Amino acid sequence: MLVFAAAIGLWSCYPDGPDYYEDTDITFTQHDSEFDFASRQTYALPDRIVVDVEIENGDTSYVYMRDVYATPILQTIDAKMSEYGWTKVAISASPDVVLTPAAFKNTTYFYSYWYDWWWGGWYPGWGWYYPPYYTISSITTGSMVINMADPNVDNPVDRAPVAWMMIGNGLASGSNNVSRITDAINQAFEQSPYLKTN
Amino acid sequence: MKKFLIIAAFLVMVFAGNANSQSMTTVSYSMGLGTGDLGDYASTFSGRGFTIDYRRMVQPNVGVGFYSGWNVFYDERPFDTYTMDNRSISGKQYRYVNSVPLMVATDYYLKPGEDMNPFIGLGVGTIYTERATDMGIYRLTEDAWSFAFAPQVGFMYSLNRYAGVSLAVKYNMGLAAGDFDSSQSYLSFNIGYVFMGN
Repeated sequence: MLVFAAAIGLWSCYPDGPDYYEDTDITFTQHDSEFDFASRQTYALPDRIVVDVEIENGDTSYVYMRDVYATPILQTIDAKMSEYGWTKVAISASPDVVLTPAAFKNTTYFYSYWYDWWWGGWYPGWGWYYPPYYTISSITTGSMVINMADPNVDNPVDRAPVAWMMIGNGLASGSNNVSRITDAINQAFEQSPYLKTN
Repeated sequence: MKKFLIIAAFLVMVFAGNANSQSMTTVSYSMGLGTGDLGDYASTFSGRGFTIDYRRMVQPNVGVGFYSGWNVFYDERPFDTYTMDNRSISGKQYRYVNSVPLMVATDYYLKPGEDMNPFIGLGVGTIYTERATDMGIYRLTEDAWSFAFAPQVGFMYSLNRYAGVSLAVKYNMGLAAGDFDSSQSYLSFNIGYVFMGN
């Protein structure tokens, strides 16, 4: 009886963990260690961020992040890329790498549509894939994800392996404060010094 | 005949022991301090725990029984970047250790029959250690059933024929096993209530 009471007492004072939503913010980055970032100079970045896809009567349409959020995010990416010595060019100017930002509103079927968006929408005829050692299964709802890949691929399926990726987990959910996302992007670059070309 | 005498003498001893004897059940509030590898992982002094000790007196000054309990350790690490191979992850870390010893134990009482009765003892058995590291929504869990020892020193003070209080310090040492490359050990400081029964 006493043991039982003690056990219940213990549960009630079990340590708390995170106090604030922000305490759960984490920034994950991973890179292809074979990829030579320093020899590349130019990048392309879209001016919209896809967050979801809607399918109605077989028609798919994409849902984009509202500009009030997307603009500071894209500006942060541009600022960090510029700081690391990269030059922004249009997709038509055959950049050395392309960046593919997205925020995952849901994770169940988004991935393949996200891919299709680049393929048919933003960077026509171009796609990328995750090398097998990447842990995309750890992406959750509300995550901000940025991939970097070299579009100048020469293989039968025209798909380039992802050279660098960042995941800001859960940042886009629970709060309408975009600074958590931009902080995560800044952190992602900070913990990835190999991206520097200057 | 000689053998019979020895056995008889032994039985008399055991029965004699049983005749005056008693069992003691000690339920203690237990505070823990991690040492060694466990201390490096979670260094804060923990006020979360309890222990239970049962001893049957086989001699007026020797008790044999079991020892169990539950100690919880908790620690936080500030925002930092943890890098493994080509992966980096930044965020706050929340660390939890649950430690559950299960042992057979013997105590030797220095002053049986007196109100103030110091004792020394040793438990041998196993400790289940579970270590959980939380970062954001991710949790890394490591655990082990370790072969373990728990020497202890302490004293008890008899309040009357049926009850007493005790103070004891146990050193719980689980050898490296399972997910742990090094031993998992901690000191526990136990303030207990002793039920003396027949």
